Amino acid sequence: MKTRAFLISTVIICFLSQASLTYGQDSIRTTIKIRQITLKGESGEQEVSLPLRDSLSYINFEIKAVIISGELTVELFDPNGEKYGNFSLAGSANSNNKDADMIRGKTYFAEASGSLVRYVKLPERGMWKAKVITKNAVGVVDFNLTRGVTVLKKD
Amino acid sequence: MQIRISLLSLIALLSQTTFAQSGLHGQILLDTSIWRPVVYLSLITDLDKMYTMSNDMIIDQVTISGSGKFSFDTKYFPEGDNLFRIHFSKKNDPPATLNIGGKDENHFFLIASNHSNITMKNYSENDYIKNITVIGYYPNNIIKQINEIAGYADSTTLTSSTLKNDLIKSAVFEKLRIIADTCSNPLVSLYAVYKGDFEKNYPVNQQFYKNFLSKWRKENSSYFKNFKNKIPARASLSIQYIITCIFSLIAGFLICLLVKFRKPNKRIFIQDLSLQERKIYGLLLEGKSNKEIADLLVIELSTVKSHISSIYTKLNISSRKDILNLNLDKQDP
Repeated sequence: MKTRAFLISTVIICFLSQASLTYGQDSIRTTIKIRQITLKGESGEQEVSLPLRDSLSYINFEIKAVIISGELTVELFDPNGEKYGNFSLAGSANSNNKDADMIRGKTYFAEASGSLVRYVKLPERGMWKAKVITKNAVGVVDFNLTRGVTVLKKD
Repeated sequence: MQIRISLLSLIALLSQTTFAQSGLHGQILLDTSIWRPVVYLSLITDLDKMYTMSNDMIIDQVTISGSGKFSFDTKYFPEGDNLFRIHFSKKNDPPATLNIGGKDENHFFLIASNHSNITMKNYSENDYIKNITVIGYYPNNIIKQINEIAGYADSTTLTSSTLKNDLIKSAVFEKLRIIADTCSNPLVSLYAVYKGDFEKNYPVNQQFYKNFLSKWRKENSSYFKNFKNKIPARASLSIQYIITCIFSLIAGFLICLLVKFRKPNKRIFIQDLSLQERKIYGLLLEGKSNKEIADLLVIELSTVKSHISSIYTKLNISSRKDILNLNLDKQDP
């Protein structure tokens, strides 16, 4: 009985050693453009789904926005509905606005840009969501994901 | 006289020196092949707008010299402490650019007033924002500490276990609440509250926020006014509760009045009375006394009294006079 147990243990150890010798860990990184939203002066709320079906080593959310005018807010939520960050952009309310004079020496074209980058290690699977809230916004919002998967690699 | 003039001259000289020193000065290492050599300064009037960017928020901009030096005048700043955001923009981005997180993060916050004399410096082009040190006004040291604590929650977001992550976040928020509670500078204290995600934590730590508002009740800066408006649930809840209580009392009182003065509209039927009671009722209508009724019906006086009592109960009356006023319905119910 003891001999059989010893033999089985030895075989398992040998198999595992072989596996660890011939296989190593490597990471595959893929960047995907999930969606681009072009805003043409609309107001309202849009939801962008960012589904995570696979187990990943990490994920990097990158939301970039540029506006020419109007107002824009972008919020990122995890599958439990917890907010993971947000930013807002606003075009100058009025190019003739006296406040513009406060920008000393220069008056800029009413334009703003922003980005939200969130690196999440071992992200929870499920439906991540981004909410885009606009008010007469003219601009573009880009949603990019970089997915990292750790795989076994044969030497 | 000469001494007085000398003293006045000295005071004037000292005050001039002080004014010359006040300002936001900095020396920063920046890769100008990527970044525009300009520093932008925004005034944040509401802590909810820390992550809002617009040209209208930028109040000043200065060019960074070849040696990396820049300087903002603070004389036109509002009185008292205010929160400012300093940011940089890439050459291809508009000046009003806000990058949150990642290697291109381009902003940091500081507290200053019109008398501030603050120096900012970094020692590396890599992670240049994270490496900036702000010297000269103590509240900014706590701001940095708060950012580091809040950043710890962000950097550990979703480690292997959700429970672990929750525990870390909970500890981070608790630490930020402690800072908010113990800090003597109202704006820094409020900054810690915002960084501690008060909107999410308010329902479970109401007493803390109640005490916080009580501690800073005399603060009437725009920051605190906006913050007080951000907790409408607490205020409206108590007002709603009081209003509900008052309405309930009024409603209860009115119902009592209605019940008390409600005229009984129950229809009374002669059929409700037994045969003997109907006979006695008829005799009572004729004005007969108890003794006469007993004699006429050949029953005991006590029996007559018992029947009359039963009639009173059934007809909901209390005297013979009521019987005369009663208009009995002789129809069947």
